[in-house]
Amino acid sequence: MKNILAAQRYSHAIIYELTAKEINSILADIEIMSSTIKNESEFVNTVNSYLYPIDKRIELALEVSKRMTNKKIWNNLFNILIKKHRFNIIPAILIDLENEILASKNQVKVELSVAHQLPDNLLDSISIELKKILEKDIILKTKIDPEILGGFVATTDSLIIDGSIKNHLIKLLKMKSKNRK
Amino acid sequence: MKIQPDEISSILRDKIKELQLDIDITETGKVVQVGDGIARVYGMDNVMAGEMIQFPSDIMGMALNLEEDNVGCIIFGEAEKIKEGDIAKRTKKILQVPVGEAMLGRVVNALGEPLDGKGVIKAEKYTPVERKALGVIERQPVKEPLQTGLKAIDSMIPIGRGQRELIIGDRQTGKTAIAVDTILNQKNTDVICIYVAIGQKKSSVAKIVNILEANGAMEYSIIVIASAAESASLQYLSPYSGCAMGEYFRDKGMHALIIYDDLSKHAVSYRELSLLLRRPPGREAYPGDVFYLHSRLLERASKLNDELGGGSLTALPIIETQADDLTAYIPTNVISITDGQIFLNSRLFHSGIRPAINAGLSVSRVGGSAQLKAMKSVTGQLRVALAQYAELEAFSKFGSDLDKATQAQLTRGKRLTEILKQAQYSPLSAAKQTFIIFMANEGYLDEVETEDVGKVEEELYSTLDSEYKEFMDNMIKDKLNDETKDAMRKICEKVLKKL
Ligand SMILES: Nc1ncnc2c1ncn2[C@@H]1O[C@H](COP(=O)(O)OP(=O)(O)OP(=O)(O)O)[C@@H](O)[C@H]1O
Ligand SMILES: [Mg+2]
Repeated sequence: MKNILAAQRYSHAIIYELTAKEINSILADIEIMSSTIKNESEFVNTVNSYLYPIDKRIELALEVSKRMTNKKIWNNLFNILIKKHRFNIIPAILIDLENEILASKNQVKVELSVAHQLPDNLLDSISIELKKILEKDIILKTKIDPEILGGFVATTDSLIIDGSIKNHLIKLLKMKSKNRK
Repeated sequence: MKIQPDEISSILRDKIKELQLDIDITETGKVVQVGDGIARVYGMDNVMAGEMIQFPSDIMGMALNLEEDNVGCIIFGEAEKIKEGDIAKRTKKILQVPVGEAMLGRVVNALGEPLDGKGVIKAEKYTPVERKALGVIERQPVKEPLQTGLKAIDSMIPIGRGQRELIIGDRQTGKTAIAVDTILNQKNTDVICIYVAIGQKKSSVAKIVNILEANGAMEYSIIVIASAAESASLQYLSPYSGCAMGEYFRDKGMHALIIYDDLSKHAVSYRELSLLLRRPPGREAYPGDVFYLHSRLLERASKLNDELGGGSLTALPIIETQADDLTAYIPTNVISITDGQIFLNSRLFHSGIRPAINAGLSVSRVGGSAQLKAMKSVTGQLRVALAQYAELEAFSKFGSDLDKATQAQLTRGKRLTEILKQAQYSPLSAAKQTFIIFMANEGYLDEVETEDVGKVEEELYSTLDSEYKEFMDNMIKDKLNDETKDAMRKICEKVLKKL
C-alpha cells in the first residue's frame, strides 16, 4: 500500500511541473516506459538491485530515457528513485501518472471485454453508452473474453460496468434460489 | 406435440431479442493489504461506513475505517482466500441478517446462517444489523414485569419488559445460569428469547442448547453463536445481529428478551479489531469509542409506546469482572448505560448461596413500577429484614449476648436467605414466589431448622399444586388483601402440620 501512496506523491510532483506541451508528449513516454518494463522483465529489478554499482544502474536507466521525448524529467526521476532505492515503484508511478493526465484532459481508459468480435457499429454504440455513464471521453481497449457469454463488461480503474449475460444469469439464479427459500 | 429444434431456436432467438440486459455499475477498489481478518482497500472513494464489501469468491466484508487514502474492512469468512491486488466491490448495502418467525428454534451464526443442520432458513425479511435506537417519543416507561422465575431477582430486583438489566460478576458465579433460567421461565408466556453467545467455548454453548431443547424452550428461542473459534469480526457483529432479530418482534408489538453472554468478550474482540485497524488505543488499550460500542447496542432495547404497538425488547447483558472489580473500564461503562445490575459474588457462591446475588449492590432502577402488585405486598418487608440481617450478622460474629429482638431478627434473616436460594433449571411462578416469601415474612419458618427450610418449601409447592391451583391464580392478580392473607396463613399452618 505504501508503494501506491509514494507513487502518487511522485506522479503529482511530475504533473505539477509539466507544461501543456509536455503533457501530450509525456503520454507517449509513458507508453515507451511501460512496454520496456513489460518486455524486459528483469529491468526494474536490476536497476533497483544493490548487486551492481550505482553509477552502472543509473547509466542503464538513462539508456531507456534516451528514447523518450522529455529526457530531462525522466533522468531526474530515475536518479532520485535509484538513489533512494525506490525504483521498484516505477510501474505504480506510471499507472498513476497516466490516470492523472487523462483525468486532467477529462479522459479515462476503459478495458472493454466482449464475448466475441463485435461489428464496429455495435462497438460504437457501446462506447457512446459508456461515455454517457462515465461522463468522460474514453480510450477504449477491447478484449475478447468468451466467459462472459454475451453483452459486455467495461472496467476502469475504479468502476466495473457489467452488462454481460453471465452477470444477468447469476442474478436470475440468485433470485430463483431466494424465491425457493 | 413435437417441437422442431429450429422452432426452439427461433423461439429462443425471439426471447433473446426481447431480453433487456440491465447494466450494473459497481464501484471497485483494490486490496492492498490483507491479514488478521482485516483488509485494506485502495479506492472506493464513496464507500459508506458500515457498508458491505464484496471480495472475490463471494466473501463478504464490512467497511469500518474510512481513511484518507484507504478503507479498512473487517472480513467475515475465509480471509485466507483474499490476496493482495484482488478487486473489492461496493454493494451499497448495510449488512443485513434474516429475521422473523422462521428463526425461532434455530441456532445461527452472526450472519444469520444456520449452524444446526436443520436446513435453510426461509426468512420473511432481512433487516440491517445496525439501526439507530428509537427516540424518546416512541418509547414509554416499562410497565409489565418480565418474570425470571428466580425468587431473589423477581422479589428484590424486579425487571420490567423493555428494561436493560446487567448481570455482572466474576467467572463461574452463575451468570449464565440466571440467563438460562430466565429463558426457561418464558415458557407458556408471550416472550421470545434470543441468546447471543459471544466468544464462548463451543462446548459450553452446546450444553445450553441441549438444556433449552430438553426443556422445550427452543420453540420460542433463537441462539446466535460467535464462539471463541470464530474471527473477531464475527464476534463483534453477533450482538447487533441478535438485536436486529429481537427488534423484529418488538416492532410487531410482541415481547422479546435478548441475552448478550458476554459483553466483556465482545469488547475484547472490538479491541482486537481496532488495534489491527490501527485506531489509537486508550484506557486498557480499548479504543476511544468502546462506550458507544455498547451504548448504541443497549439503547436499542426499549418499550414502545402504544401507538407503535407497545412491543418490548428487554436486554440482559452479561459482564465478567476480575476479582469483583466493578471499577474497571468496561464494567463501569456498561453499568452506567443499563437500568440496574445484578451483582453476583463468588464468596456468596462458594458459601452455598446460589444464585449468589449480592442484594446490597444489586439494583433495578426502573423495574419496581412493573412489579406485580401481589409480589410488591411482600417484598418491602423482605428487603428491610434482609438489610437488618446483613448489619446484625457482622455483630453476631463477636458472640456476645444478644437480646431477644436481635436474635429474632437474626433467625428471620437466616430463613429469608435460605428461601432465596434456588436450584438451577427450576424457575418458580410469581404466585409461588410470593407465597414462600409471605410465609417467611410471617414467621412461619422461624421455628423450622435452616436445613429443613428446603423440605417445607417443597411440601408447600406440592400442596399448592395439588389443592390450591385456582386460589393461586386469583391471589397473584391483585394486591394481597386481608382476606387473602388469612387464607394464606391457613395454608401455611396446614403445610407445617403435615411435616
Ligand atoms: N443456582 C445454582 N445452583 C446450583 N448450581 C449452580 C447455580 N447456578 C450456577 N450453578 C453452577 O455453577 C457453575 C457456574 O455457573 P455458570 O456457568 O452459570 O457461571 P458463569 O458465571 O456464567 O461462568 P463463566 O464465567 O464460565 O461464564 C455451573 O456449574 C452451574 O451449574
Ligand atoms: Mg457464562
